[in-house]
Amino acid sequence: MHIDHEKFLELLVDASGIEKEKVEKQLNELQEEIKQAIADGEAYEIEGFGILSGLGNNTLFIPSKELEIEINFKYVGMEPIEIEGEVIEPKEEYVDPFEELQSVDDSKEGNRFTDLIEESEEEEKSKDDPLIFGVSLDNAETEEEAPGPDKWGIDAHKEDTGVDKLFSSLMGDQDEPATEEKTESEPESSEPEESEFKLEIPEEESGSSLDDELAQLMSDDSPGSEAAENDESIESVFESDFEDPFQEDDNEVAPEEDEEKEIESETDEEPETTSETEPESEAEPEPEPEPEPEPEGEPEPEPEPEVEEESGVEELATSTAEEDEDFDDPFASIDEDDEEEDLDLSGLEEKEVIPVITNISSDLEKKEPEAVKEKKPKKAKSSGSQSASVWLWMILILFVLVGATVGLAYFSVINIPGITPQVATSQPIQQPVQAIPPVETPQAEEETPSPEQTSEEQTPPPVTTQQEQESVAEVPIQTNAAVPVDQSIYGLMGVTSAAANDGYTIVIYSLSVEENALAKQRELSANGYRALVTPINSSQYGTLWRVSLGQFETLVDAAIAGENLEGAFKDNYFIKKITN
Amino acid sequence: MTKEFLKVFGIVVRDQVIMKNSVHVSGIGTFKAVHHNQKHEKRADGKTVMLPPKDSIEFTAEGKG
Repeated sequence: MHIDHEKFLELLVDASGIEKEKVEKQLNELQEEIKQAIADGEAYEIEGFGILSGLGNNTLFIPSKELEIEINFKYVGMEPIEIEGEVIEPKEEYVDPFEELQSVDDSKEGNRFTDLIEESEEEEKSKDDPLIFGVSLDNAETEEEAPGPDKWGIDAHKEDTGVDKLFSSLMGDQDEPATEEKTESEPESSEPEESEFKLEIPEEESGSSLDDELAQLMSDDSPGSEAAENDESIESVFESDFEDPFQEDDNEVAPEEDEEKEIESETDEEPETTSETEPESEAEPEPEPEPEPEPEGEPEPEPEPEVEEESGVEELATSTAEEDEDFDDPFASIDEDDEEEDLDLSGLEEKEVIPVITNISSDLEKKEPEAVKEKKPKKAKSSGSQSASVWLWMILILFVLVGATVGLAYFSVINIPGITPQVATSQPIQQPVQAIPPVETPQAEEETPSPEQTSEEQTPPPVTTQQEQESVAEVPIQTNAAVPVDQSIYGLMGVTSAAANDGYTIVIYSLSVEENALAKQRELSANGYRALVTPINSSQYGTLWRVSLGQFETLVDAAIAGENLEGAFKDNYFIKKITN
Repeated sequence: MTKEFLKVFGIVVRDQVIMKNSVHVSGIGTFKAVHHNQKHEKRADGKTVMLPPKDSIEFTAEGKG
């Protein structure tokens, strides 16, 4: 908060009790004297406050020792500490919250502390805003924008895997029809999604075997026919890039089919095959070569390995189907999409393709099942990791509970021997204690103290300032004001009671001059507070006089009272035990 | 100008600065409390010392703002 000249004048009037005009006049005189002194190159000293001096065009202020100490009342007694070894300076700059508040207040006129409350509320709101319902909107946005590969692996890789799968499945020729055959041949065993998902596992084996088959086919085919195929496929490549891979199946089967079709044309079986192939694309043509070549006596190594592969695929599929019957397949949607894409593109597969591309696709095909295999164990482990995470949470909660218990014990909220600090439950030291005759206190009261007072304070001997400096124990100076009978032992308001000196108090000033401290005490007492003045010995500053408010049984009570203090003292106090 | 006035002047400024208020005295300047964080200091003898935090009073002469 900024105190401008008008407000400063009012404060001077209140503090001095002099009329405003006189105060203003004296202030102007002071101002002139200071200016004159600085103009003359001299320094102007205000006793107990500091020295104002000129240095070039600037005016310097050197605070007096008393003022420096009193400003630093919170840190009195804190001595420099020698640290062994290298210490890394913290990089974070400390930002004084008061400075910010002050700068805010500088721009505003009004109650400083209401502004503080408003600001703190705004800060809290601004902190709370991004965490609506405990979910950070920023995180949510980032998650939506860029799903991580782990958490959102399915979606993130959906397109890629779909494309890879599409190409690999289409280019890998034998595998996709085999899966389709499976679904056709075993519609009752499981849902098509699951079967297709499971059938992806043996792709590695089938892919490798298909490569072998392809190599055999390539070696078996005559160079002339190969060249012709290459020419055709090159043409198709130039026609469109995407059409090439889909023609692999035909390309591989083509040499067989050409021969077979010739034979089939003789036996008039072709109409049946065409009728079968039309609805379900190229899935059908494959099984036909199986029975036919045998009666013809043509050496075909393909059908047997295919049957073996298929049987192996079936076994794996059934085994995985048994394992994953209860499992909700997260890849089902992907597989569905892939299936749809496959079906859409199935019409394109009838075209021919370059065999070399088949090799590349088979390599791609090999990689895919590995990825699928890698994902499967994670799913299996997920239940185990969940239970582990539950245990971790339980351990964490246990630690927090133990920490909270120890904290409560340390602050004497609950009593745990060994943790709770030993509070001096014995009678407070009652040495005190010089009677500072309050202005309002009549002499008669001192002569006839109340019964409580006589029991608590038995003729306290007057202690001189010198004796207070030498005294080790920090004991508040007791006033002679009578404690009302109905007054509770502890509290913020009322009259200070020696019986409550075993508690805590809220320190609001530490002054170097006793008179100033006593004046503050009188002022606070007049406002109804239990005001204490306690001398403390500082090796650095000598004797200081702490002015504090209230007597509280526990630290918590003092903290609560501190929070409810009036604006002038709020956020600018510390709590201390009354007697050490 | 009396000694009593000078004393009151000092007390009023001190109290306001303790309360972290900045005090502007017309024709003289502004008094303001400044906080200094605790810090490590390496002395000439090689010892590292941690200095406690402290508040100091800062004066800005009028017109130097």
